[in-house]
Amino acid sequence: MAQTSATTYKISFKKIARAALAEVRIHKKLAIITLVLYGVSIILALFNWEAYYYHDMGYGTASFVPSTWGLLFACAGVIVSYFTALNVFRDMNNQQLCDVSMALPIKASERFLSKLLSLVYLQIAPLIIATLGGNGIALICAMIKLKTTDIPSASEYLFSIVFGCFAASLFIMAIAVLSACCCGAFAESAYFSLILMFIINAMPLAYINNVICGSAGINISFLDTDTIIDLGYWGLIYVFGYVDDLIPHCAVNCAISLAVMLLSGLIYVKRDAKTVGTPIASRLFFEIIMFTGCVTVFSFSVMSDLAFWGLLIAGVIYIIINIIVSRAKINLLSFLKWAGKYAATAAVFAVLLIATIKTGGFGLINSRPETKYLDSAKFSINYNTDYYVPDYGYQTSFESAPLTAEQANEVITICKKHIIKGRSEINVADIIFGRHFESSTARVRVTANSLKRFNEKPFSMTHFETYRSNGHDIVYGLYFSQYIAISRSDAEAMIKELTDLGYIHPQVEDELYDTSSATGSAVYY
Amino acid sequence: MIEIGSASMVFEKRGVGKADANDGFKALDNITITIPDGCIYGFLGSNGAGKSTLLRMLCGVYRTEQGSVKIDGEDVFDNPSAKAKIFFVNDETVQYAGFTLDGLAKFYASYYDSFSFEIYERLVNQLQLPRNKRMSEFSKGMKRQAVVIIGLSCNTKYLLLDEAFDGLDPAMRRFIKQIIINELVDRQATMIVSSHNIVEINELCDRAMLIHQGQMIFADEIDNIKSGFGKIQLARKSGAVTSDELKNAGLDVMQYSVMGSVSQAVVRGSEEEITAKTNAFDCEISEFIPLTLEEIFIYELEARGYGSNISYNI
Repeated sequence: MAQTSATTYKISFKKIARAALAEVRIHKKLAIITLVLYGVSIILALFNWEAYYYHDMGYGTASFVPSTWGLLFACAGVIVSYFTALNVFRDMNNQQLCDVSMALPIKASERFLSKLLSLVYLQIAPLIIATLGGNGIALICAMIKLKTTDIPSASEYLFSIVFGCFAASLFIMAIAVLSACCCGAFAESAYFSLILMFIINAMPLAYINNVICGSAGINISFLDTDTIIDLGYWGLIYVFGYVDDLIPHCAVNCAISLAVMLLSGLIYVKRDAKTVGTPIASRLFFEIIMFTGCVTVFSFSVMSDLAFWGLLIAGVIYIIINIIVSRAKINLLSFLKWAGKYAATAAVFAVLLIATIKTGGFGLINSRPETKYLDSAKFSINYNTDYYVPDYGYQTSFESAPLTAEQANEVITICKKHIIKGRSEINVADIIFGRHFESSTARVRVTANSLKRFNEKPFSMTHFETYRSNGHDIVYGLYFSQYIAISRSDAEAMIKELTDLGYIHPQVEDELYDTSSATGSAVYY
Repeated sequence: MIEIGSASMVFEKRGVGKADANDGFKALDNITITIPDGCIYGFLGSNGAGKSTLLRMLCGVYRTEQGSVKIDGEDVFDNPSAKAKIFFVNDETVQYAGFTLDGLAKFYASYYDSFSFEIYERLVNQLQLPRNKRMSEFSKGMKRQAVVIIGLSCNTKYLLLDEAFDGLDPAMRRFIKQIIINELVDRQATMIVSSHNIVEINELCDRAMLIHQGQMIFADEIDNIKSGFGKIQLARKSGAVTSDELKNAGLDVMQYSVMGSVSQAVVRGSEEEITAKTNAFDCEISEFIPLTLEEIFIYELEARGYGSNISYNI
């Protein structure tokens, strides 16, 4: 008969608070280190920050970046949270500490919550204290000095740092806690945390930017991935001020981190000391990491001539991790089992990849910019060949005159027709292994820029549009770019059709230098 | 009262979760014992017998997947009210290295409502341990003393000590044992102690259990255990009494040896029972020698093949 625990027990918050303080007393040095790092970071951010001025196509923009050294100290503070979380949850992978921890008269759920609370005391409290302290100092300095200087208020950027560090710290702690709860050995919790952090940040980026966008020919830069749930770039993106809606982003990402921590709690309360010392306590966790890790490496390497190397490197890493994790005796059967699992992982990815390519990046290839608010736009189309074209060299470039919205729409329609047809004619295997950049194909780049900009946001933000800050105004405009390998015959047919209709003409030398840009920077102390 | 009913524990092979669980080993197999209140109970066993596993199960470090472990009628795993009655000292002290003695006291006081600073102060003064020095700087014996002080200060009904006297010099061993006994007797507490040192168990405990390869061999009061075994020496002019003769007479023979007409055997049973049976052999000399707990331990394990392949040169 399996043992059951008491059912009428009520969670005691007093006990959680007491246990958390007991935990804090053990790790108080980490809290002091964090306080010093954040303190220095915030002082530097307030007194040693930099302003960069960009002059791009006639639109002057100012970007204020907190002190680089300050950011480094902030990053160091965030990194301490990784060690703190692993140390606080050390009882999950150390038999002696587990004996102490699990024999204590406290429920597993209370113990888990007390550990989370201790992380707040050890990592979040120093951040808050440093922020308040830094602002206090800044306030005193402002009363004395700031009236005589033209440095804009730094509080907005300080806010970015604090929220960025908060979100990043929570993310790192959530991953470290999850790994500690799913692994029974300290080494595995430590390196699986790092692998998982890398996967979470890199996998969406690699799969979306390389595989999906590569299949559709539409580039999404990370500045344009302005979705509210950006699992990648946790934290740092806020610090550099790349995101518009700082608070919602922080709130959503912190909520996800907290959800990960609570999920870890479900694993924590189910575990007893039997799995302590076992490298991996949760098989599901291990399999998910191995699968997503392979997908990340594959996503980085496919659709280029690195595809084979990606397959090989992922396979070697897969086997090595299995050898490390398997503390028991290894035999030929073990290797065959791992090789089989790796082959299955690669097969699943291959299916996903083929589906992505066949559907043109899940239909992204069909996407087109919104042009109804557009007054006029100018197109630039070129394609690369591997043979010499008189007057144009290896690159054949065409320009349009300023076009109306209707004309721009028609140009996009024609381009889309040829791009979709040309893409369907390329062999999928050639695309996967990067052979579609050979002589039978052409790399076509279609870009369009609106000639007028809007001070109001006329349409929903998509990857086709971009925005630039002009002083304090946000200016929107059309920016459409598609860069994709298609069959050469379709590239030539597209150019011919557009030229025959009079929309484009071969680029003349003067137009090459039409769009110049300049960048300047200034540093304030 | 602690009741362990048909408790078993299987450990999976170390690797990735249950995939490699095929050849796990059974650390405990169907253990059933009752530990009454107010006694000092000794867990005896060979290396890797399952003593520490059983202690960990008793204090809720391991979940009992088969059978039950109850402290005063309550399941112990993840049950704070049952665990509040237990303090467990494991066989290592490395986990306390970062604490000072006062820090460790504060740590446990945060969890045990029953923690007595009065007992703590008294014991620290008695043993004269440094309060604000990190325990990593303590000697092994000092660490042991420190943990025993904390265990007693937690003032729990049950104190579980796993090889707790390792690292103590004989004088300190005796002193610590005396302190423990005085404290426990005062408050009618129960102590469970595991040790390889059978002399120590013999001196300290009133009950004991012998465990080997996860299976319980016996569990009883120490006097009953001792009275359940004996060594007999029989000399007969007509020839030595054979092992088969002893067995045919109904004796439970654990070990048998013969030298000329003198035979020697270790048998299970009370002195009266054994003597009554050996009288039937009409021996010139028939002698019953009681066994020490250590001898019982050795013979019981030898009878199960433990250590039998090791030759001694004394």
